[in-house]
Amino acid sequence: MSRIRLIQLGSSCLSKANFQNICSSGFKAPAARGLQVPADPTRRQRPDLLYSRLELELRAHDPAVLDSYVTFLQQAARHLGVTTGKLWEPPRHYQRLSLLKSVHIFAKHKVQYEARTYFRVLELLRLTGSTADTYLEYTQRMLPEGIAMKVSRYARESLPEHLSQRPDQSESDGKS
Amino acid sequence: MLSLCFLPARAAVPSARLVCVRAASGQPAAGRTDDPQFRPLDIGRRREVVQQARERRRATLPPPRHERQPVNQQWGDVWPAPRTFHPDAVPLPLRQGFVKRPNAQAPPGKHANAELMKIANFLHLTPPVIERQCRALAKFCTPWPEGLTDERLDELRPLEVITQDFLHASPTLRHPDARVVSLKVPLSCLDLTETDRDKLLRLVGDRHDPKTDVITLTADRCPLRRQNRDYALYLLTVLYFESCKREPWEAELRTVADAEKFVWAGSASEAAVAPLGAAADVVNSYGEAVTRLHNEGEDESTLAEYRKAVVALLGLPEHVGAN
Repeated sequence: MSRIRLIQLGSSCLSKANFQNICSSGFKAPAARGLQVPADPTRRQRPDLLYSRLELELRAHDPAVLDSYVTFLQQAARHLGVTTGKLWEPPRHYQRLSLLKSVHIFAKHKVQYEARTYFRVLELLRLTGSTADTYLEYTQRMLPEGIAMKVSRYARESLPEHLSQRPDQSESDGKS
Repeated sequence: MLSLCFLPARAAVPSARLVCVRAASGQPAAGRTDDPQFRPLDIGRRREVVQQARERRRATLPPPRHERQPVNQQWGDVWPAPRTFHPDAVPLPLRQGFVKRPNAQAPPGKHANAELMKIANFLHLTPPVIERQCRALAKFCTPWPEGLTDERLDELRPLEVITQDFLHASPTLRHPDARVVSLKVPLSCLDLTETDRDKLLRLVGDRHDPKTDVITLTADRCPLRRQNRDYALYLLTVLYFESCKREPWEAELRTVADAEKFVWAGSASEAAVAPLGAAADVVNSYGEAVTRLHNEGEDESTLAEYRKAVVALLGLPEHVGAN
């Protein structure tokens, strides 16, 4: 009986204002809760970054898959208007381990493992921040299994204002 | 007596296996006629019956998909996303695998080929598909500013900030090098006098590359990339401001003996030459010769220049001491 009464009270008494008053401490806007909100086009956007170059270092266990992926990278760069620089192949690395086969004694019986890593480095030149982000998101979503990517970004920035003149000059300017 | 009784009994009764073999051959048992009362016992699965059943089952299945695909189909619609290789969907006669005698054996075909299924295939990234996807993405790209050559870029944006991002399969998202920030500053973009530059180079040590005249500041002491970037900029600010400062004790500290390079002005050599009363340009050329000798070391050219300057200074004939 009492439970039914509470539900009836809730539906009739809980107006929007009451609800907000009650939950004001816990209620947060979607953005504050960490959810992604579509960007407001009227807000001022940050200026585009400039990258003098981007270095993509790829590490893979299979050289054939690496070759195919690099071909894809080059084609994507061509279609998106990205200038490619050097493409070179650092020497491969084979990690070999010889471990004892048995948990206890029998040291004459070993088992050998090998992990093969192949490398490729592709250099992209003169990209804006938007282009770089678009290209990287596309290629990283298409990254196949068995390949890892490291992106080195060389961003170019202007000298901070406080370093553009000598401190004594700026002080004298400030005072005058 | 007992053994004699058993022997004929074993020989007389035909075993079940024996009966089966006779039946599988498809012919009536030797010595038996088509007697309706005594049918031959059929225990095993006869090969012909099994094969006929299998063929009937195969006939009811539809043909594989690659036989029904039109020749002018859009492959990007057939294979839109990365997918494990499926032999009936791909109309290619692929072969993959190891064979012991490659000259005599063909590699295994595409059906039930574990190697072909294990390896990553790029069937979802054929050139027309890549082109189509890039055309759709092109609107999010911005062109490199026109007229922004490398020289202009060095003028306008001399600072280079280097960061690294990692993408790999791992139990953890974090990579310890992702928070490292490097800052490359060419000294030509800073307003420095000679003493400022000297002081800065002493502070910076081997972070300065004499060939390119660039200082590299690497910050990795903070946990976040943004913090490391701010720290690197703070470090640069501190270095510049400190190198522009002059402490009262600096003037007393730097004596002639501390100097890295010989400076003619105010040196003992200049004081010694003054009483000779030679012409100003002769004294200057002597000063330059002495400076080069001290700073660049003894060389054929420096010694020759010094000899010439001394001969001019002292008014000696040209051939004196020439060998």
